[in-house]
Amino acid sequence: MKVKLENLAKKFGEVIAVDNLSLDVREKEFLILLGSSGCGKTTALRCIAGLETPDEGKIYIGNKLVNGLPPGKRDVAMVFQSYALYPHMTVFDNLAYPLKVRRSQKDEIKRRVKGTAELLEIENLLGRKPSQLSGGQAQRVALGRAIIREPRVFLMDEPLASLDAKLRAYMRAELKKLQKDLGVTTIYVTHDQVEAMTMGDRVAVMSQGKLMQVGSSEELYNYPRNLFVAGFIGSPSMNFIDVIFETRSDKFFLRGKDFQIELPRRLGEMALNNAKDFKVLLGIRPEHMVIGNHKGHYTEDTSIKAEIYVVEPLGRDVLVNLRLGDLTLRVLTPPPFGAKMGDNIQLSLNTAKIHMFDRKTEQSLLVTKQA
Amino acid sequence: MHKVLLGKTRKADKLVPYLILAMVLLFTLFPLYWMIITSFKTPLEFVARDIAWIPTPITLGHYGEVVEEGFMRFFVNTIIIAVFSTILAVTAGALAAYSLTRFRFRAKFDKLFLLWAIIVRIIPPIVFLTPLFITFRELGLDDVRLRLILSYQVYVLPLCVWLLLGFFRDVPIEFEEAAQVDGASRIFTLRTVVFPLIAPGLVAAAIFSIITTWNEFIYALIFARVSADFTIPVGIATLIGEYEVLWGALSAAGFLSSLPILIFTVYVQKHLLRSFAKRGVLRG
Repeated sequence: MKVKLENLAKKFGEVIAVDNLSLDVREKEFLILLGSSGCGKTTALRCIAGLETPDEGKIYIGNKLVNGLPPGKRDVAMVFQSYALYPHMTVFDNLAYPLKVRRSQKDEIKRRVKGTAELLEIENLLGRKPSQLSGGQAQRVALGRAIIREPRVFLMDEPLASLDAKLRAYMRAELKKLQKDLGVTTIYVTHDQVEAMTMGDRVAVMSQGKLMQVGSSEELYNYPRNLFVAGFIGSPSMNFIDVIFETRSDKFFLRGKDFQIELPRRLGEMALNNAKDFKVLLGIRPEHMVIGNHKGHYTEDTSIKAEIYVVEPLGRDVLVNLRLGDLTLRVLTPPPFGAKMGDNIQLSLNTAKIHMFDRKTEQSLLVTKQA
Repeated sequence: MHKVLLGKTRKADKLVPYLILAMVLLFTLFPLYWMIITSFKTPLEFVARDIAWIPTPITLGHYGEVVEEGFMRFFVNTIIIAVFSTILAVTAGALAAYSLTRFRFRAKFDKLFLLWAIIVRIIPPIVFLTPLFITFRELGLDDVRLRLILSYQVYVLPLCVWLLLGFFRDVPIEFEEAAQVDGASRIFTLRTVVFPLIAPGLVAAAIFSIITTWNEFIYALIFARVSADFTIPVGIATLIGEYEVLWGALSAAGFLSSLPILIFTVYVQKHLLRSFAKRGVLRG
């Protein structure tokens, strides 16, 4: 079942929660709404559920406009962050509740509760009260209550947020598999970019009520459309440096305070097409820089002199903080890393992985017009 | 020697709470005991020099007097008034508290309402007597029991609202939203989810309301003109005359009137405790 949002807007007093949000969720898709707290992702989800009334815009589920419909008539199921399991009912009664609301037959209820419990491997918990469940078990029951109704769309509001890290990683995979098995369109809200990147078919990044970019994990990582997405996706986050974009004798350069980088021709031409100003922002991810001189992509032209500020060993990598004038840059480099604090080193950039942004509009200069 | 001393202190430490409890019990139960034995004493024993701790001989005559005075009628009046006042107060209080916690109001109307409710409770109830009297007369409400049921709301409704407010606030809004998404109507959600969760609050409000309305005196005294309309407290008061106090009948009436409340409280207390345990789960 498709879900379509058209120019959705919602204000709470003076606070704009959702600002002109348009989004197409495809049939059977697992779409993630990603953003930091207060970005409007939950409000958008609640509008789809019918728990909030949007000030403007249209919401379609399937091909049906559902704006005027109460939540119960939209045939969506929602999983809340707190799970919202009724403490005075057993797991069985919690699972059966949506069916009881629909006045299903007793045999039918029994059969479906049993089926759902089997699917989620919680048959042995049916007699318990929610207070007797662990976080992971409660989470499964909450999922069960959504699944049992066989709704057209699942809405999930940070369902894994209250689990511990290990269980969360496990449930990520479980949930993804479950969604594919059931084939139900799912809209999933999270602030955790790892969850977003690993689980979603597509991720919609939101900030201050606005949609920043929708795309697959790879698209968001490799081709961020704007400064926000570039900084938000990827950990540790992208480095940004103020530079001046120049063309000299048919070559393209980015000139900083103490360095100069020659851009690959493809990127240079794209940027020249899009740039309105020669003052731009250079973006480069920590994993796309190397300490020391390197051949290939990392030509001597692109090397920058910097001073080591702090070294943070992460196990698999070492995160090195460098001082470049009054800027701090972060570089990921494989261990062992011999240099110490205060050492002067040379830094090489993988120029093919460079991003460029307009300082005023914060839009990427490296996007083709069609994209 | 030190050890022995320590042991003694510990024993004493354990005894102290029991001593305090015993004193409290004595303080609260003695009047009750005195009332009960007095109700079985012959008039001679009231004035005897030696205190009779156990009445001899035991007489049931005072209970007969009480029944003759029309106490069964007072009983029925009191039960009807207390029960219906309580039903009205708990129902209206629950709906008001629910609305105040769940809906948004303009211009802080909810806060003002709650403030107003508490002010009504702070003002001595006798202040409302004349306005209520006039209002009932103008409306043509002549039934004394109905008048009392309505005017007792001055005592109990504000506190029911305030008491239940906290219980409703403890119920996460997600519980209702989850039911709403599942297609449940608001009434169905209230019945199956919200009210079971705030049951301890409803019980507490009911106990409070029953006891208050059962014992109320001033309104009952003013509104009830003829003895057929008397409630128990007013009926008891008639036993205290200008020249004579009917101690036996007074005690018998007092004992009879406290019996239903005692039974009700003991019965409900179990539910109250069990429900409070549930509330702990909800919060945890």
